[in-house]
Amino acid sequence: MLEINCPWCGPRDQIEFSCGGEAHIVRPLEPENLSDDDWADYLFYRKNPEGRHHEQWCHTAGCRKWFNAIRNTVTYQFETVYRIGEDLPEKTSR
Amino acid sequence: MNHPKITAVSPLVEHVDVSSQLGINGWRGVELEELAFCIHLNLRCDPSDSQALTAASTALGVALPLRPNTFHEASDIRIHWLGPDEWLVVAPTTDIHLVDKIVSAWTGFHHSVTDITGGQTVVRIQGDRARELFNHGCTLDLHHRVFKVGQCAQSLLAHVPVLISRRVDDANGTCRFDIVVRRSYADYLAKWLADSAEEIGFVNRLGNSQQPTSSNNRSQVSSASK
Repeated sequence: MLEINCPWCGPRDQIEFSCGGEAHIVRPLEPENLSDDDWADYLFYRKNPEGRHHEQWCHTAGCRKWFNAIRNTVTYQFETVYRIGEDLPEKTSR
Repeated sequence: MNHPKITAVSPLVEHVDVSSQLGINGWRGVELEELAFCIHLNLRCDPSDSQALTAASTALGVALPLRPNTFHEASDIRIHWLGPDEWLVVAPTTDIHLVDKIVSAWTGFHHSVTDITGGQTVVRIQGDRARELFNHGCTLDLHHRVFKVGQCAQSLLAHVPVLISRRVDDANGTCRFDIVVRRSYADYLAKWLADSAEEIGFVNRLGNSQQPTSSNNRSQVSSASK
């Protein structure tokens, strides 16, 4: 069982959270000018790295706020969490 | 407009029989009680808008808590932090005009006020062994040094989304927790509480709370609707 640090509520159990997949995906400003390949890339294609991964999480059973996290997909360790709208933090030394 | 035929019914009305059971070693672990028919309001506004915050605290008589997972209380009105821009007000039935007060105070501000009174209820768990009961189905650390008086937390209790708040200890130093639970989950939670409290012993007063207008948790709604 993981303990996840909510940027608002502090450390809580994993069952209170839901994962929203890859973070920092920006919707194209002019979708009508995109090629089908680029649109499909925006809609469907996601990174699947071995190691550090930027993810969106939601504290579903708590404050119901979305936040971003950097999680290691090998060790499951959360490197850092940061609120929506905050800049990407520098890589921590962990 | 009056609706004389509409009665408010507690979601725990099925539990009107007072039951009690001694736990192992004769423990009298917890008392379960419902604070029925409270006014519940969900408030949202921009927490960086200090004028809106001031207007709310003037109208309600209690300031909106800005520290995460805390609640403020004054003259039986409690305001719980639900999120950085969301609060839950729980007030006695007599404060029926609270919703009008806050709506008029927030006119002109970017806000939302939702009356969710009938949608949820409050269960009070009181007793020295209350934490043992929570430990059966909640992952929160409710130790008295961690979860202090004045703190609240939304979490899962027996898979049910709840808001747990730690009230001021009673005169004997016995700890008291209030659980805000949705109406549709209340019956299940009451059964789960009675089942889980079996070994520590309990007095079950759910569905038997004293109401000024009712003795059996069916209360006549009087001029509640506009």
